[in-house]
Amino acid sequence: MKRRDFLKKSGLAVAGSAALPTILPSGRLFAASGRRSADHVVMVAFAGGVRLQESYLRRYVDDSQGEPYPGNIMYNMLSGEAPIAKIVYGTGVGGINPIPAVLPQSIESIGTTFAEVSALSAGHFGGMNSLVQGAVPGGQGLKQRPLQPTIFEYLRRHGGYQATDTWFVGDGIGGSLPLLNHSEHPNYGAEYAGNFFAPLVTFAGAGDAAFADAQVYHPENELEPLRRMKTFLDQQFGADGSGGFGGGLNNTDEEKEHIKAFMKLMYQKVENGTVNVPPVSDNRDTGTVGFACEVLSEFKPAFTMVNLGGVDACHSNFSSYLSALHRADHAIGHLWNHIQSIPGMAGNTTLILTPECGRNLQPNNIIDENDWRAYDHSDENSMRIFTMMAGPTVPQGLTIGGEDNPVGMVTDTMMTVCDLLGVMPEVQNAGYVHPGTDSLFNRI
Amino acid sequence: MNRFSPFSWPCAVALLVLIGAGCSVEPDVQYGLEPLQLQSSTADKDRAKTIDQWISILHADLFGTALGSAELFDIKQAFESIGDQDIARETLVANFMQNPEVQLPSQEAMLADSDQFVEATYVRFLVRYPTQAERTWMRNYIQNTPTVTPELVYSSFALSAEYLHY
Repeated sequence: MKRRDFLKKSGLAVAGSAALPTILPSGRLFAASGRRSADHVVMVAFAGGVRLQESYLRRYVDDSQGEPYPGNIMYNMLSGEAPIAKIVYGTGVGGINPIPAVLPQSIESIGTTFAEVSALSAGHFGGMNSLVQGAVPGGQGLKQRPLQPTIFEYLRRHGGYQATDTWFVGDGIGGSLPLLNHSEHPNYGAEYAGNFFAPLVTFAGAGDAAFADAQVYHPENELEPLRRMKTFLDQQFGADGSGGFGGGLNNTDEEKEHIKAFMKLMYQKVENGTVNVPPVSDNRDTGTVGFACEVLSEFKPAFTMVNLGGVDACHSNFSSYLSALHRADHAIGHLWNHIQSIPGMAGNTTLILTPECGRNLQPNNIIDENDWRAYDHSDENSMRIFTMMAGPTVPQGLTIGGEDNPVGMVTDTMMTVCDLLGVMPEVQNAGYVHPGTDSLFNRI
Repeated sequence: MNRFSPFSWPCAVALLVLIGAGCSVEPDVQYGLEPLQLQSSTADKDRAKTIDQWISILHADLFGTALGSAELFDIKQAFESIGDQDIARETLVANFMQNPEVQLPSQEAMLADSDQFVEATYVRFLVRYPTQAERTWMRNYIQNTPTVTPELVYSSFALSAEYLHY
């Protein structure tokens, strides 16, 4: 070959490779342009309305009930001594036995804490949507899917993740929770949704009667003919098999069968009492985290969102709120420990957690069994939250901001996930997130 | 005053007359089922069933009985707890198939008269007769695929897109 011909052909090849997009296995045309710095991220919507006073500020009943007993009741997440008196948050009658720590070091000491972060909503609905969409749900009604794309859709569309790479494990089906795994946005939607389970319903509630006895069909002898006949029927109907109420999430056939096999396994584990729940598991949050651990072990997702909501008892019972806060911390400790036991995720997973909203500065008039007042969430104090993260690329033992010196917003949590998993440029360019939202790494 | 004074008799008579005038003979209403006209095509099925309709109809088609409201509520809750509704539908159908009360023809009956089985299955699930092409394809597939069972045939119909519509 003459040198001129070689240069001409190789130049065309180079030009062609530059102009033609890469077709990824997921069907995407372009690889994500961001710098991916984590293989796995677990994001926790922490607990359902947490006052900064009893959580990050570690004031126990000193800043809520006029009792001079500060202290830390979240010692898996936060460093510091527990209260010395008025213990009601543990186990046993009256909750007098605190649950021992399950982590040798607090998340605070091995990660970075944003001591005070600004929420964008004083309520659960707005807060959860802020965490999922990175935006406020303007114009979005209750029992309606998000109007702007969700973190699941961003990751799947721009990061090329499969459906079983992204999971949302919810603590129930109340409110709009089951609708948060994808939006109605025309450029995103169900095609890019995350998988969702409310495991306490699916595996330990109504789902048991509806699903537990289902046979997992043999792939060649049973599934193949079933699918062949269904495909024939759908072709005659002139449809692709979708439509009707609800719909699929673009799980592949293999992913669907994987999920069904996982469901079968969960029913067996529930029956045998072998779900990987925390050492103390006596409320919804600890149960939910137990199933979240099972999802992590089975699917090793790139992104998992876990929603906890037990502390919402604070509307009517402050003692129950303290108890739920203590258990949410216990569950997070167990979750972190479990992640470190999963091959492929151990040492390779970033945990990030943020309450979706805070709680009021002043109590309401409801008194509990300890004569303590309850708190709702509607005022400025409800906009004060915190964020913690830990993982291989997260600075250790670092605290950013402080009381009355907020740094960052609730929507930053979602953008930080996008940053870690390499899709932040695409999400920023899409232009649907709340103005000023940024990766928390850029605020350090 | 005497409780039965003469002044009260005209009032009582007037009241009876008024009551009598207000009553009318109850019409002779009869309830029943009108014959359903089976269609031969899918053209008219352009409306999607609601989740309630799909679950209730599925139960009726598989068990021949109506689903109780409490059971329906529980199944809907179970559906809400799973993101992928395709998986929820497939798992519910597979779960129903394990119920000993499901009304399934035997394998022998299916193979002995596949034409009749195919026609009955179309009528049962899709409320229409199969076209000749559908009848032929389905009959041949059933006869030539040893692992096909009535359960799998019923499942494929229950999970078909057409079954999601009416």
